Amino acid sequence: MRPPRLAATIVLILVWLGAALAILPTISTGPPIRAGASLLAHVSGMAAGYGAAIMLILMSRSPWLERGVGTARLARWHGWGGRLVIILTIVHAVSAVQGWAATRSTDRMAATKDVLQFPGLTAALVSTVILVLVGLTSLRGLRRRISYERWYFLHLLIYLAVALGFAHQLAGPDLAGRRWLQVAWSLLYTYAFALVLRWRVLQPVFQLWRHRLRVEDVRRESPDVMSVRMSGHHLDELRAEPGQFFRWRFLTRTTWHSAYPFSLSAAPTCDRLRITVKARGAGTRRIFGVPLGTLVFAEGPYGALTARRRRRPRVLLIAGGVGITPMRAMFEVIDLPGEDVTLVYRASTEQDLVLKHELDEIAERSGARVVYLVGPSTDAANEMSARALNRIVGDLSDHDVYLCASPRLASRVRDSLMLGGLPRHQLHEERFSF
Amino acid sequence: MSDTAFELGRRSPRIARLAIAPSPSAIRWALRIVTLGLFSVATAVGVSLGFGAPEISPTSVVHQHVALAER
Repeated sequence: MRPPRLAATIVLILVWLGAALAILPTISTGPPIRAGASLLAHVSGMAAGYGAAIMLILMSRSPWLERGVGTARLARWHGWGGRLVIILTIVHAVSAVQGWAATRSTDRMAATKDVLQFPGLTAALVSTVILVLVGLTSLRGLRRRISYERWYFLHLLIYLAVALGFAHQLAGPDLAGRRWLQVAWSLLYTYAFALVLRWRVLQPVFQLWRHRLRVEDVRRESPDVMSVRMSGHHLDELRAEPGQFFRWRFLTRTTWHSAYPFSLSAAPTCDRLRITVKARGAGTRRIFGVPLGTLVFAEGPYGALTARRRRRPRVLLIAGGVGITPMRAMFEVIDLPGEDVTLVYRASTEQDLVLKHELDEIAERSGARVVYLVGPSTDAANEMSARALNRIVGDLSDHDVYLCASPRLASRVRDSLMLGGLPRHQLHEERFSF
Repeated sequence: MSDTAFELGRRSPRIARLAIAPSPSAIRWALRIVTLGLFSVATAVGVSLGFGAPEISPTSVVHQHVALAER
């Protein structure tokens, strides 16, 4: 398997090359554009249009991207790129009005009215409003106040925004009259939507039909954590691996509209999958009440946090809170002698140590080690710095480190490990913050 | 969606199930053909949209600049 970093670099080079190809014709060919607001409007418009299509492709869940680049890296690129597209769209709108006002020697208000009367500009305005709304709700301060379900629904509107913006781009001055560029641009968009349709719609529908996944058992692990076991047919065809996750949609009246990303919390078998869910809001709490037999629409598997990434002779798994779920599944199957596998599990209280009995059982069977760090983080015994982890495992340098924890804990551990000299390629992470 | 629809889905043990179970390899080929078909349609739509796109932009600021430059 090609190392994910190389695949990611190749994809990045292609994306930037595409960006150059999209923008260069604007400034190098065709009628001259006056420097200033007009030039800025043209360049930012083309960049935003190109970026919107690339964002769709990156989040299309295409297996080549998911396996080659990795879900976490794609989500990071999407977060960064999405913001850039929104900023470019705003810059484009403002500078286009400014440029129009300058060429017509009129004020901005009159220029805005003029511009909005052109065909397709109302749709472009709606598209911009949606993009700005989604951008605002993705700001950290606001995002925390919005439920996952609302945030998810708003994000779905992005498809509408991109489609509305497309008509404006195709008729825009940078593409109009350049027939082959218009064809290439249209193909970029139709392929982006085809990828989304193939992997985010058709594939889950096919999986629902083929595997007929249903809730078989719901078991309480702690007051706010439940395990949901699902049974189905031919699940081996999914080629899911411990450490990976799916986006689950439980088909009941109250839960069908939201898809939640949860990792497998046990190694998948040919007829069963299991997830372990922590109630974080009303939406996830509703999952606890789904009746047995409920059909489950599953998108996936996703994620590159698997034993395949292992290159070193020993493994350290680090879990914080409900981040134990992918680690529990991997702990069960890592193909190494027990003494070379250590799991460090951090939780605030004993009650939060979900799946503990299973971990103890696996450790006893395989000879692997589980270290529980329970209590306040101010307690020196619960330190999770590189130095403390080195003390636990002996020598971190001959370990692959797998990490899944809350964003704050994960960032603390990651920073400490990097400062402590652990090479970046030996750290494997899955991040689930939305 | 109605409660009845979900309840039917929950209870039906053979939802949309074919009488003949296709082999995994037949399914893989069927999916490949679906993918190919989808991208063929995307290509046709893309080319058609591109060729049908306007030759002169209604929002052309460029033409304004050229006109101004020629004055």
